[in-house]
Amino acid sequence: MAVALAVQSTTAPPAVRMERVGHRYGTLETLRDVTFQVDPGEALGIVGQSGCGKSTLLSLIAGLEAPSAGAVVAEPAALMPQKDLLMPWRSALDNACIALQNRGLRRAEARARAWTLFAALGLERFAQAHTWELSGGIRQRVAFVRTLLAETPVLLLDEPFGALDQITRSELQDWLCEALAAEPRTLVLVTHDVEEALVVCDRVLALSPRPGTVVREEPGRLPRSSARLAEARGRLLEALR
Amino acid sequence: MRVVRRAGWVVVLVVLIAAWQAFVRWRGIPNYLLPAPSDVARALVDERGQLASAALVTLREMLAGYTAAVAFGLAAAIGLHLSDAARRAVYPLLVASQSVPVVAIAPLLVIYLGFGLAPKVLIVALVCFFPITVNALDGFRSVDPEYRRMMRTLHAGRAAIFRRVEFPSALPGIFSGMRIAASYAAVAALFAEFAGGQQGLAVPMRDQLDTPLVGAAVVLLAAMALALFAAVVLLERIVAPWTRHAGR
Repeated sequence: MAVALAVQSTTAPPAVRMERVGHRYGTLETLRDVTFQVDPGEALGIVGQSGCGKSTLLSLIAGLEAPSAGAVVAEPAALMPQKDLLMPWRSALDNACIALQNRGLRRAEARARAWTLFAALGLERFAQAHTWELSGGIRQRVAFVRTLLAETPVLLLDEPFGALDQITRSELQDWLCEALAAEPRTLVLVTHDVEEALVVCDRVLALSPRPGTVVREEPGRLPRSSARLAEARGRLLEALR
Repeated sequence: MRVVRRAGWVVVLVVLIAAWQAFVRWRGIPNYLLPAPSDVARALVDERGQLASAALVTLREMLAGYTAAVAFGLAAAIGLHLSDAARRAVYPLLVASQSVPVVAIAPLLVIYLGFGLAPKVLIVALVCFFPITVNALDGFRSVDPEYRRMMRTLHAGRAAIFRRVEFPSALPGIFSGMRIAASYAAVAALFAEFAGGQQGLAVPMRDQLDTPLVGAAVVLLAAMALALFAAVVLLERIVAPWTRHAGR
């Protein structure tokens, strides 16, 4: 049964609002009766099993697909896929500034803006590197900066650290929190990793197996290795079964 | 060690030539049946004036036809990639056109266009066009669709997606087609000269009894084909250096 989620009222309209959203691929029902909203500046985590419709939710928010039922209202959003999709014909810096160039900025101007963010986020020594020279963790950081430089109010992260080892994941989770503190945005993070969602996000939703629907909500921003995190993790995993 | 590995083909070539020389001399095979490599080398030196001017004619036909094929082949691939309607309407015909033997239509082209450069260039272009078009089209179509989805959320329109993602992604495919076409171009030029012409490397080859001269013309033709192939490989390394690092 779907859980309708009350969200704390704020004066600003939500950055993302999903109202009884359903979605189908032909006869395959992927999402059913999904309702939630994300406030401006909030980081929302979505966890669930493979195939439960998490990535479809991001596609709906990004406007890449239309819902079969219900309504999706969202501010412009940039997507960071699980694969970093860095382009080997561009340097790390040129990869990061592609959204600026897509918006019509000249290359030099786009590079200058990307450089500022590279420097702020500790990536300046990788700016001129070829993509094949970068480690998995650095590639994901560059991909995140590329998403940030789309300068959309909403960022959609689709299992961005899924292919990394545990140590690199932890480092990147901390780095992501710092980056978001420096460049605040509304964030929707889809992940298999319940702990990652509870550490990085303000709020975490659990999505049931297909057709995905929201079955539990937990508050996030919990310290690693804390008892509260362990309890919240247990409740979310129980709901996902 | 790396040099030895890379020069392995030279060793094989030298061994083959030495074996060929030994076989001809040992068995006493007459020159008109199979010339020894030393006879071919002598013909290359003795007839260098005639061979050089003939090779220049063939080279010009080959390069003009190849360049035209690259230009039109790429334009066709881009058009077919960007328009579903054009691809549905034209692509099956393009594939079917390959069943029409150029051998059969070459004399007609000579009748229509005369004995000058034009029919030769056209024949080379026709032969080289297909591998370039098909490989480029495959290159465009093999782009990971995730790129397009991501780029749409990064403010990219259709033109930006093509210019910044699809075209660079397709470069390995484009160069693959260009390499295949490069290996066809020399033979296509020679064939065009046989179909109707009084110049080029086909002329010394017409006297089939002067086998050392025929062999010398074949050596020059092969060298031209190899040179064009190597030029394409070099161009790929300059234009798309990342392809050598793929999979790292």
